[in-house]
Amino acid sequence: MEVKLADVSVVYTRAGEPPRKALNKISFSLKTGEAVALLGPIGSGKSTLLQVIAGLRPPTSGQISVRGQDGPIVLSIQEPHRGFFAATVREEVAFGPENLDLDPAETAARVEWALTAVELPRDKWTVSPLQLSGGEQRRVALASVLAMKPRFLLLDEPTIGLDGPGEEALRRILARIRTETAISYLIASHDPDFLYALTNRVLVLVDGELRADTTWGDWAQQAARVAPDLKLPFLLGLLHRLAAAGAPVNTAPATPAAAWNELSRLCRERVKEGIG
Amino acid sequence: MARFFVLDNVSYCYPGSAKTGVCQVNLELEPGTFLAVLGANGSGKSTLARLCCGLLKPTAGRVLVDGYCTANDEELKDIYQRVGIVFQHPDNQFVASTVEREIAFGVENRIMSSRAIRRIVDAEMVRFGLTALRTAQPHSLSGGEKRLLSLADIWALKPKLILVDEPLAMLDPGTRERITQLLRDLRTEGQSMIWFTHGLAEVMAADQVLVMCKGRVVWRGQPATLLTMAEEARAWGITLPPATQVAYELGINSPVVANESELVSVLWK
Repeated sequence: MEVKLADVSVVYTRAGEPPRKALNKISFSLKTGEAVALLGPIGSGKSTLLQVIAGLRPPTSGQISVRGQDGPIVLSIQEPHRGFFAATVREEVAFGPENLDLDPAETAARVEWALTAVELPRDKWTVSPLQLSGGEQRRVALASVLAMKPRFLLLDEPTIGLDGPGEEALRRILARIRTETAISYLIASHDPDFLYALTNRVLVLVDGELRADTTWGDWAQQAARVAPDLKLPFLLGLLHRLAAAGAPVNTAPATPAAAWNELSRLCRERVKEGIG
Repeated sequence: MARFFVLDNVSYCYPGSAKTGVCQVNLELEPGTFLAVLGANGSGKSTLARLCCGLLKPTAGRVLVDGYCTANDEELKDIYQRVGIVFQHPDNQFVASTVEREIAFGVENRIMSSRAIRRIVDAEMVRFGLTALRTAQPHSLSGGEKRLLSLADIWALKPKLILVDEPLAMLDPGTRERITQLLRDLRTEGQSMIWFTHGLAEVMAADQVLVMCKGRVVWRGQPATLLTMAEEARAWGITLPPATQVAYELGINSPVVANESELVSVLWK
């Protein structure tokens, strides 16, 4: 399955205000199996882009086409837990599949799978979602989109409001679901560390324009020039500062594991020098 | 003797719920103190914040502000004048239809001339960068603007003690920086403040840190001491500054690393 955007623009018009271009001639494509980060300053058009891909907002101009569709494209909006309405967690998660007209047995199986996948303890499945902690509510919200078995899952700021352990749990869950299913992710976030751990391709929006479509390693090389206000993942930023101080390190590791290897190697060499 | 702010063996249980409350918390604050309360989501810190300002009444123990007790309904008015809370979700506190009416709302309940109110509202709009949005609807603002407005609301009232619950959550890096600076300014102005958060990096300037886990205070001390306690911090669900965490994972035990510059100089002098 492939989603292709060609020259997609979105213009917002409001009475009494000049029209505002939220997206300007965006072209790229997403393929099944990819995990893509969407970076950009606040107001750069990230949420608008996700809404366009999810089919919730028609572009003002340009085309969006889907080839070989074998599953839905589902958007999980910002702070999704604020929209809870069902009496129990189980009913909340069942709402999506029920609206896909699935038979009750299939719906029940999906609810079971999704709530297990997000690691929500079984004794919480029958309580009101509003009784859960913030971290648990976010996992219920994730389960409710997973239960629709999306091919492409679009996530808008999934880590907002989560604490350290909550974010780590979400990261682990999303990584595991990706290895277990053929799901693809497009994740918009202000948290570059979260994105670096989960994705292997980077899209960068600035003022509604696509300024980069590249790998993490390459993004680290051009970030300062293209979007100086955007933070690099901590490990990539650290390697850059070390290189600037003269340390012999690779500043473009494609994954956090590769970045850790660089730092560990440097550390070992320092220890060796210390002994020598 | 009446202290400025006292928690005397304060406990709270949510009625009919297994949700963690707080258990036997003791605390005394001197005026001008910046206290940080650190804990994971669900550790009881938001409950403690609500107890501190009288929105919740302890099921045991007492909360005293200038000698007034939150358990006595007739003293709540005196407490509300002294303690202001900025909620984690700004939408929960907005009541008015425009930004300037929102800031004026609390001040109007004080006996003051309309000119004095105007002066306060204008000054706070300038301080928080909201002047251009004076006629905008609070609920229509961006996340960062809402946060600024929620701070301006409380600031305008000049409470003796300000409680901020996760003030940097849900913000982009630019707004985080801006709000950190505003809170730092207040600190230098001598404002008493309790900052509730899960991230140590935000509160390295605190005079004192209190760590909560499962409703109990499990540790208290200086923020710098926590930098050396990576194992415990993990168990408590609090986040160390990223440089400290990376140094720990690389096995660097000394010197203690508080920020990226220090980490760079440890790794490559």
